[in-house]
Amino acid sequence: MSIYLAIAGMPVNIFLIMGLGGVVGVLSGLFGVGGGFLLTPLLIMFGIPPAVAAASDSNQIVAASCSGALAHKRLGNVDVKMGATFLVGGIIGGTVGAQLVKVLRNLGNYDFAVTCLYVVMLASIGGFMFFESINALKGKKDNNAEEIKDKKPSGFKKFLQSLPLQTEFKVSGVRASIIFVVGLGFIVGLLAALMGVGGGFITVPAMIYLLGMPTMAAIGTDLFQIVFTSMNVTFQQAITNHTVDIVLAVLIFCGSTIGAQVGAKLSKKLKAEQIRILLSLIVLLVMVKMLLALVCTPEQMITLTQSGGGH
Amino acid sequence: MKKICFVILISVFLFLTLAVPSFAEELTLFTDKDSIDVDMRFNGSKVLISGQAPENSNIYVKFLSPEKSVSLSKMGKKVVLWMAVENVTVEGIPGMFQILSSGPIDDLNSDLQARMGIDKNYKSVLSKAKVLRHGDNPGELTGDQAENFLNGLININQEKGLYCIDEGGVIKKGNSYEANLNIPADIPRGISTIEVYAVKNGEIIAQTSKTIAASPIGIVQTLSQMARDNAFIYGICAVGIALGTGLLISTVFRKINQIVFKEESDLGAHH
Repeated sequence: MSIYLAIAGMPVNIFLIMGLGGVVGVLSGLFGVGGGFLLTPLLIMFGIPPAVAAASDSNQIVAASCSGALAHKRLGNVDVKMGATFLVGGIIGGTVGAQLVKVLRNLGNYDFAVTCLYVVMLASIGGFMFFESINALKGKKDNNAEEIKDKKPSGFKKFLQSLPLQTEFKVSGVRASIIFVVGLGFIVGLLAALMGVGGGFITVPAMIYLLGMPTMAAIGTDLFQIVFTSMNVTFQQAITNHTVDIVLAVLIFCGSTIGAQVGAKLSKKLKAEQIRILLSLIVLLVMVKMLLALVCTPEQMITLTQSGGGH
Repeated sequence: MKKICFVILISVFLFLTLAVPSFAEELTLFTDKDSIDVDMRFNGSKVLISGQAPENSNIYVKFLSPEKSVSLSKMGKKVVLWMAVENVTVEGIPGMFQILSSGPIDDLNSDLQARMGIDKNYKSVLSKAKVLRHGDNPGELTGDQAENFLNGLININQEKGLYCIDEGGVIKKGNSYEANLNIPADIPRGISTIEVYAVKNGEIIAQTSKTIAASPIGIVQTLSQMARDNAFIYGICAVGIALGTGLLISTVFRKINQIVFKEESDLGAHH
């Protein structure tokens, strides 16, 4: 059964799109990670123009994150002060990012830029997860997180402590420089606009390992910022690039919600390290597929410049 | 008296209806639809063309959509990565162009081909196209450079089913003809023209044409118009719909989980 997408300007198979959302939903339910970083590349692979894929993915992230954010707020896991500071950067980053998308599209290389960013990002995430899971399987299970927390960025941490505008964030029980938090928000906002991701894969580790926040507070605060960052990115993409396809976003979201329910139930029956290796392999596989598109000789030397649909 | 009148009326009616096919030189054009509606269920379409054709003539059908400028990129290798190295816009070229005929195009002499705008190499289309380069060194491309881009575009359009030449696509049965136009999903919006020529002994003996509009209707029209003309409101709606759908569906699933799976936690999977 096909449905014509007004903004993408093309018909798509409803079950294919909901299926893609579903697969990513299962993964996110299974692993508790955001699916944004997998969804945009998958949509692009199935022919959705990259700019529409990224913008519509941001739109569905609004739907996917708002209920989780509310739930965490009720449980007191959201550090509103941290989230709001982060959002100052996130909103600016998202707005700048949407303009950057416009510039890159006019240059004809948005496609290329997004694919490159994705290859680098998926390679880092996939590689990190893969080696971490291998280590965990080798037997360093319990103290792994603590070790990273203590050992890793001591020099960088000192630098962070030397930054001006150090402030107390009471809910998380940490002290951090406003400049660092705003800067981190800016980067995440920029990536959100360029790639249609929520950015949880950067925000959560940064909050835990660099800022020293408790895990639940990091996850809650991350979801809180994602809701607003992706709301801003959706809006900016709509007014700057006209690339938000509401119908596409709703289809993906319906698929991913059902998938997430399945994934959450499955996760109780599977071993954590094994499924993490599985996820890292999936991420690496998508990365290799995108990398091949960059290094292999294209079938056609003359191609349509991806302008993101619309007529 | 009544009977006589009735007989006269019947004879006149029969004369009129039966007389039409006897106009052997007439060329008519009918389509099974007057417009191509792009709605939510649109996935390309077919237009059935039919009509009367002069005896022993060949029928040539040309479908010509409005011009649509297209941006093209030429791929090139930078170190190890393939990326767009040259970007152009092609102007003055129809978004869709199809030729269907009941006889070979080679039967038409070059003068006739030029007059009808029908040839095997899309010459009539390409001769009006302009290839404009973007970037640091803007300007119109000519010669081989332009041809390279134009041939690339023809290939792309042929693959999409927008461009085609089908000698034999028109079926002639006695004094009538029939053809099926395949309209792909990305037909350009606007008014297209269908031209039909009847050719006999190397001469055009009759020609006719008809327009057909392709336009979005219903939700597709509302959404694409709003996204373009009222982007501010569209953006707010997109965010609002996402928030609404997100909260609604998560509530539904929480209830299902509570009732069916007896789960209490509302911290499900998240993105």
